[in-house]
Amino acid sequence: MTEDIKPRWSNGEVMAARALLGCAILILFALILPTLRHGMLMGGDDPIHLAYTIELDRVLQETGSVFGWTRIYGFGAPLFVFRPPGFYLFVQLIHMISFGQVPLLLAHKLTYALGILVYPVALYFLLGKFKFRPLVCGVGALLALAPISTWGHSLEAYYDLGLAKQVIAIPLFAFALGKLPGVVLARERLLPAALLFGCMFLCHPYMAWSFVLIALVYLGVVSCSGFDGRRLMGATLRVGGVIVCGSGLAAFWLVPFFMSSEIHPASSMTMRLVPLFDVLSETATATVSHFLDGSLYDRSTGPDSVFGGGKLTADWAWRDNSQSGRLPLLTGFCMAGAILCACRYRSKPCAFLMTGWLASLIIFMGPDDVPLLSLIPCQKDFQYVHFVAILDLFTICLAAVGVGGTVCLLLAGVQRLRIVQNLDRVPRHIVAAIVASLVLGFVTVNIYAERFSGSRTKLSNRSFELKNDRQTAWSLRNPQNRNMQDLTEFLAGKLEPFDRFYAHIPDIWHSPDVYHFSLAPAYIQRGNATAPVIANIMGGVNAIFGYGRLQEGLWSSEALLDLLRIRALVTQPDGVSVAGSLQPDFASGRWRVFLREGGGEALGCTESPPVLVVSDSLEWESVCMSWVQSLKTMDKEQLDGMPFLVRFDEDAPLFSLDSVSALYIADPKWDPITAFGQDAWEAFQRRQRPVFVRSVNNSIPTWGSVAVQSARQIAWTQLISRMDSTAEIEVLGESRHSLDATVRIRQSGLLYFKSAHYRGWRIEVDGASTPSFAISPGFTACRMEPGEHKVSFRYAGINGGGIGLSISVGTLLLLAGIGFRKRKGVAAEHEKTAA
Amino acid sequence: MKRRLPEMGLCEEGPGGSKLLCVPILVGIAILAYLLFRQGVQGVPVPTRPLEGEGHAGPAVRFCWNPAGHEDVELQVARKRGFGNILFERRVQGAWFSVSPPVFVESGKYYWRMRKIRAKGPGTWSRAIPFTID
Repeated sequence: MTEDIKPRWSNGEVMAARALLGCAILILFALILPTLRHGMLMGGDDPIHLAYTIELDRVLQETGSVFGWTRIYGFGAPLFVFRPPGFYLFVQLIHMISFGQVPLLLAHKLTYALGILVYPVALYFLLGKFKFRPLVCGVGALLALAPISTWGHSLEAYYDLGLAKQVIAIPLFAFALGKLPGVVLARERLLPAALLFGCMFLCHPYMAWSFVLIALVYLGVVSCSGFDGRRLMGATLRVGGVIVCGSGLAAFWLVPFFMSSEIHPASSMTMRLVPLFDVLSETATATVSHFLDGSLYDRSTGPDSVFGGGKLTADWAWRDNSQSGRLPLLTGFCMAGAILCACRYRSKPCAFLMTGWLASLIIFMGPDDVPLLSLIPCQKDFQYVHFVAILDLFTICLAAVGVGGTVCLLLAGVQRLRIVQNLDRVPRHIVAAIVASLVLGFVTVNIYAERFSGSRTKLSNRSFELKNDRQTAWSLRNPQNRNMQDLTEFLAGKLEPFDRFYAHIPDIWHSPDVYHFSLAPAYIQRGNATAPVIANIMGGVNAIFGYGRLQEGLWSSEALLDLLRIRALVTQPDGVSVAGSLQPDFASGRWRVFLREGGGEALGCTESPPVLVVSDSLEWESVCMSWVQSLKTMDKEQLDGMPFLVRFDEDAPLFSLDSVSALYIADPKWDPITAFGQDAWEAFQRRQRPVFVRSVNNSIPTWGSVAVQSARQIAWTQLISRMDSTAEIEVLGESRHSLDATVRIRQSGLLYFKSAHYRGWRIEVDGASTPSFAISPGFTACRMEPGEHKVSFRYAGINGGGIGLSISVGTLLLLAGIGFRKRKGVAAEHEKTAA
Repeated sequence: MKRRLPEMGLCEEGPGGSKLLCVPILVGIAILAYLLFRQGVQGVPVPTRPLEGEGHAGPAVRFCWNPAGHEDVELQVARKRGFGNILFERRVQGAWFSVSPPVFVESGKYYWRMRKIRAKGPGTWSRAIPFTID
């Protein structure tokens, strides 16, 4: 039975709170309005997001699937296999529901704008759901964009770095957190909370992981409030239900993500990336010190006291906001709120806010400061600096409580001490309006004045307008990047469809050029014509060419230029040696374009018996890297006799031991007799073919003939057999998702397509499906028997796409069904009661 | 009709809940206080890489820490948690130091730790952090 809850707060206060919320939205709208103008964009890594938006639109138009094959990953990969799709799907949604009337670029910017504008609403909702008084909710909305942290949900974050993934995820976090009390205490339906969690997961998985941690904190607080064991178990199950069902709703992306290990060895990526971000965090003492002196949330006291400033290079000097003139209001309000919440700890919402703030501060410090965090599952894949957004959220909430609580205390004091006569005769909505105006005025004059001056200066500095030396290094209109743009436009006009150009960038890790060249095909609308840069963070064949010393001397090897299908090279000439076939053709600023006749073949064929590699994805990359390294010293003609590497698939073995020239086994504990059979293994050993075994922990099996510490020690060129290729290949047609060819070959061999190996590619030989496999340096290949054959390669979609979609749809139907049944049950109960 | 002032409460749920609600707050404050005591009073440095259980494939290992202050740091590497048989020991400056072969001859588990060298003498050792060499 339900009973109507009588509103406790006065209408006047509710109206005043809504007015504060409205003002917050209006002020923010005025702040971000310039970004919607033509030629204006957010700063930071927004070019990346813009390229994704353009690429998704192209893929959707061509295939109708969001997981189409894209070449903005160099050698190709399914779109979104490396990146969560939430933001870009939202852009498409705006574009589509306007029937195309909102242009793509405007929809892209509108998504940013909406993400920022909705944040005050999310905070209002969150505080309201925790039943804080309306004044607190309104103040919370007004303070929503007050934090200065570049890494959180602040204006700085977008103006400085263009953080697209967070822009939707963080408001969703606040909404989802607001749903928790209803789900746990009032047994509300799971569907809305699960939907919020799922959308958050799609936008930014770190936020979903953060939500799980904070939900556990909430359960901890609830369990301390006198819950009995049975109800606590129920509450835990319901929170678990939200998380599991939310993940189920996001399964259409999650399943393919985890089923794409051949080009996405996730641990490899995070191992490389996490340390880069973690070093921006400071120690516990430094963080608390920054908080107390206001440099964590308001402004630094000097250039040396910028949070994280001790490790920032001159490139990050723009983070210095010591001259902003802003008072440490947010810090002060937050401390007041913390004291108030600590004093009123017997109120569950106050206890949760205080605990949540402490927990987020501690988690934000990371496992280097707090080793206990190492015990949390999946924490190694988490970049703790992202938790600052959660700390921001709790700080704003505490600050709102600080303002609201201080006002309440003052009014109570005035009333009790009878300082103002007949105060109780003043209408309450007038009191609320006065308080709201005071808060609004104070916050607006100080914090938002700084927002307008500081942030808008940043915005203008990151515009597309040409202002000498005032652009960020990331802007395409930066004179240096403008040169890059000129030459990519030159290439777009020069290259034939599916010709590839590559960029050699001297400073891979610290240069915006990496991003611009990676995304150039999207910028110049020639995604069909180019595979861009050998320098990125992606897996598979992209990673093989993106790391190590491979690029030194790469451009002087005709064998490698042919293998990689290189038609053009963009580089800076100093210190780079290029092959004779690469001729300088065009120059722009510090960049040079080298063009090459021929070498643009999409397919290749080898008739040398391959080397069979038994390894996981990471070791496969490592072996391929050493194999490619050995090609650099090789003549072009020798490539025909070089044995390629093929990866052993234990579930569906395609190669018997009599068809391979050597064996490389990455794990000495692996048993070849079980895999190949006793007779085949003995026959292989009798032929005295080399068996390379990687020794781990000094354990070397007796059956290996050559023990190596790593694949780098293997001299692959010694395995070359003198053999000229008999294959003749004629490509009949190539599109972004397919390739058709005729192949004539006199002896059996391996045909490879110079695109990243992915199980989603289907190969047909003479109309019959044939298995595909990975071949060095990470291409897709199939076996060819002697004769003339029609061969077609088709991209059939992302791995596990159907399974993921089925789980998502199934979860949605299940939750909707449960919700419908519950509503029906409540209605029946109402009828019964009425009767 | 008599008009009243708005209620003075912060939220609808009044402060009549369980006293146990102070427990999570106290736990958080205690953790924070412990960290401040270790780093601020005892001067224990904060190691950042490699952290617990991290694997390392290369021939050299780069040890990193958060350089709060300008003191030198003493770095130790050993095979046992008790640091009975020390493989490497060096007084270093800055925020990182690479230890090259032949320290890591064998694959397996190693431990490292560090402490600040202050004017008044060596500080307290950081925790011993296990890492593996593949």
